[in-house]
Amino acid sequence: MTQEKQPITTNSAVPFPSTAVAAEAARDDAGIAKEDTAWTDRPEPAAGLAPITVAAPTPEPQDTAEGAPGRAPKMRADSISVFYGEKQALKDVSIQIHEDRVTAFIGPSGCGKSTFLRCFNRMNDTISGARVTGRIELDGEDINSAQMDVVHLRARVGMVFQKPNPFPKSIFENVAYGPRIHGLADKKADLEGIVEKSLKRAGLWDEVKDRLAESGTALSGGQQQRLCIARAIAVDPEVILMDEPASALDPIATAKIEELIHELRGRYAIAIVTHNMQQAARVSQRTAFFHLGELIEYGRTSDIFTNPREERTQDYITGRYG
Amino acid sequence: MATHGHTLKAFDEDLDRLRALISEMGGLAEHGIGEAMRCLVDRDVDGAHRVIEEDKKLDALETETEKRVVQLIALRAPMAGDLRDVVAALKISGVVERIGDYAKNIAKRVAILEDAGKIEPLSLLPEMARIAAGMVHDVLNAFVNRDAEAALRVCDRDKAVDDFYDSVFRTLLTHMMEDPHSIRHATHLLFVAKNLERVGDHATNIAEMVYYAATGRHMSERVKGADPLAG
Amino acid sequence: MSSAALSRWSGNEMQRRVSKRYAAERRFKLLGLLAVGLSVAFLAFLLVTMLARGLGGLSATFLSGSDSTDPALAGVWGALKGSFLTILVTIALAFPIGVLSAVYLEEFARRNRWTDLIEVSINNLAAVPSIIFGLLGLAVFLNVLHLPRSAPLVGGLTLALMTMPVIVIAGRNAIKSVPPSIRDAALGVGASKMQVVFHHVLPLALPGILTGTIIGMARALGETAPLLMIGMRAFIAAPPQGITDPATVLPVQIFLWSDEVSRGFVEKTSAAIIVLLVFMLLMNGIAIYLRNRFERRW
Repeated sequence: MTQEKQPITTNSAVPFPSTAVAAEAARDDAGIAKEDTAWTDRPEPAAGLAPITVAAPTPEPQDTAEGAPGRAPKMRADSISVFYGEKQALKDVSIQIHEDRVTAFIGPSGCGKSTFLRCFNRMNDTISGARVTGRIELDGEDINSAQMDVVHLRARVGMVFQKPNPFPKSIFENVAYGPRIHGLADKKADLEGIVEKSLKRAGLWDEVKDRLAESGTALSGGQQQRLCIARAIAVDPEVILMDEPASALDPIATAKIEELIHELRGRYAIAIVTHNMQQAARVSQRTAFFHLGELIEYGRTSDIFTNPREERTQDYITGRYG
Repeated sequence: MATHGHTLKAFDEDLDRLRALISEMGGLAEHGIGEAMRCLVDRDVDGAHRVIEEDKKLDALETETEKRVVQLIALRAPMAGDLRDVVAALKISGVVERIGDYAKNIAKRVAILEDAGKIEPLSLLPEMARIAAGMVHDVLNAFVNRDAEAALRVCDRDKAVDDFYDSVFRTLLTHMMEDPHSIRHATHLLFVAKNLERVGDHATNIAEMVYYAATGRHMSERVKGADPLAG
Repeated sequence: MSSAALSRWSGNEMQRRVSKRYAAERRFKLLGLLAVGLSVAFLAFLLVTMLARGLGGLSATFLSGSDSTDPALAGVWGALKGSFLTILVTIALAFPIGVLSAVYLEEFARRNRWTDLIEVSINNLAAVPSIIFGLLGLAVFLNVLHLPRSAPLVGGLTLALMTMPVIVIAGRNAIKSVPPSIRDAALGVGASKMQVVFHHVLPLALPGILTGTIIGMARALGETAPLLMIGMRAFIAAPPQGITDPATVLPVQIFLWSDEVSRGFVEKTSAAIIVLLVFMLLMNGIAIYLRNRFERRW
């Protein structure tokens, strides 16, 4: 495989992860601070005259699962059940995905977390025998309604898959494909602009700018996955779903993906399925724990990993499962 | 708490070893207080020296605990309850080491008080020491068993130690006023009482750590109103 | 013997077992080599005899002339052109219809009893003897539709019927082997079903489809029996000008000449076989070139 023979030099343009991680941690702190002030300090319209009272550090119990009051979630899933034929894979799950927050779905294999993720852009439609009940809203709009075009939905709710799956086409074509089929660029220059912007956001531009015509499959695994992320952002989605995006990558490539998730947060609502609990802890602000098709616990990541309410969550994250 | 062990058994072994270390430290500290008090009552200067020597063991155990905690965090990446346990173990080892220092401090005063005559409060101090040492013993048992209720009960007993301290303080004060010659000895005894009172406070401190490790909540969040520290 | 002794790696017993395994391996290799050698020997024999007998018959008149009763004047051009036109008709019909059927069955059709039935029928059709297709062509194209007898059009239609199932089966397998991750990727950026199929699945499946097509075409090119049934065995002295002109094809020409009593036609038969082999080689070469061009890694 050529991709394994790719020398490390292709990665050397990027700062070594340790510095990236340090920067990430600093940014995370800032991010968390920003996040917390974002709704504790946010003056309610009515309370605008008395900001001092609002500034009082109120604990936010209502924030654990419901999200901040007065802030509509980007996506809302309500009583979702999924059946594969007779087998029920997901039981009555309700959850909200917010903008500028990363929501992680964790749980043992077969717990339904990937199935659930695929409900948000109706990828389960492509599986014969799969049946979804319940309601999912995108900005308050039912995504399963007749008015919602599934093609548009998938453009608005992008997806990154477990195995890096670039098209066997050039790097440029990989990123340009989405904008092209949706008619997002009239002129070639516009398209080139979108491709460059997307690759930059995905942190891949510097590594590939001189070889856009080369095949996307010739990149290393981590680069391929970032190419797939660039491909997803090229159509300017509002939500990005990631299905174990780093499970096939080595630790350094994984760190880069995680760093990227951090950077993308704020611009997109992100939901990520991961087997790696440390990864969920590192990249997410909200964590949902699934077990046997049920949503066991959903809350702030910092709470889930220090003080989960449910014993099953505790057993899983401390390594006592099964 | 979780009734079954980790999938990775070595993780359980590491945690058990850590708990055993804390337990051992607690035993040493408890024994140190008891011995120091016995030496004080019996005027046993040699025994007091032994107590002072034994404190070095506690220091070594504290270092060992710290090393193990760092290793465990690095190698096992503990989460949730495990993480709280490990962090609590680290903090508790520091506090127990302080308790050992108090025992050493009491033992150091044995030589000074060797020639002291009969001072009445001396009869109160062993009982006070018994309660304080008992608190240390029970709170460390609570840690090993992850028993939040036991930790709460330990807190309740701090009041008794404080009461003892008050009464010893008053008695010694009276003594000093009545007999200025006794001031030197009485002051030392006052320090002993103060040390024991601090041991009780530290045990209460450990109880709070145990409570957080076991439940994930801080004690102050739970026992508002009936705060044992308010007394 | 204890089990400890049995598992001692340096023991004599173990060494004996190891050498036995190597001996078995050598025997198998030898057997395989023999099998390959046998088929190569037969092929070489055919080529050598044909070349020895036929090379003398290859001449300008032979390559440019048509059939004749006089072996000295008889040529293979008419049959070659007939073969070419027939294959053209076959490809033009069988390839698009076969590929579309494969795409529909694999990507769009619901799995139910009807598609199962169709699948079984197609698999059976691929195994039907070619003479049956000839009878079908005779009954449908000539007797019902009254298409011109002996024409490459009818021959091509008949051979297309015969080749289509092969293309459908190969096409379906090729489409099936396109990794689902590519479909997911395209669907994930909002491609419609049609776009997924035509932008991604088909281009990736094309090498496999072409392989199936090559096999089908090679078989059609060498086919004689069904063409005999629709009258492409007539004596035709002029090369066909279009697909509706009476024509014959190379294999049939070879068959006809081999029947001739005249001594001169023996050489002509071998020469025609050489031409047929070269023609087939050429076609396969083109197809393999195309396949390699479209082949992509993923």
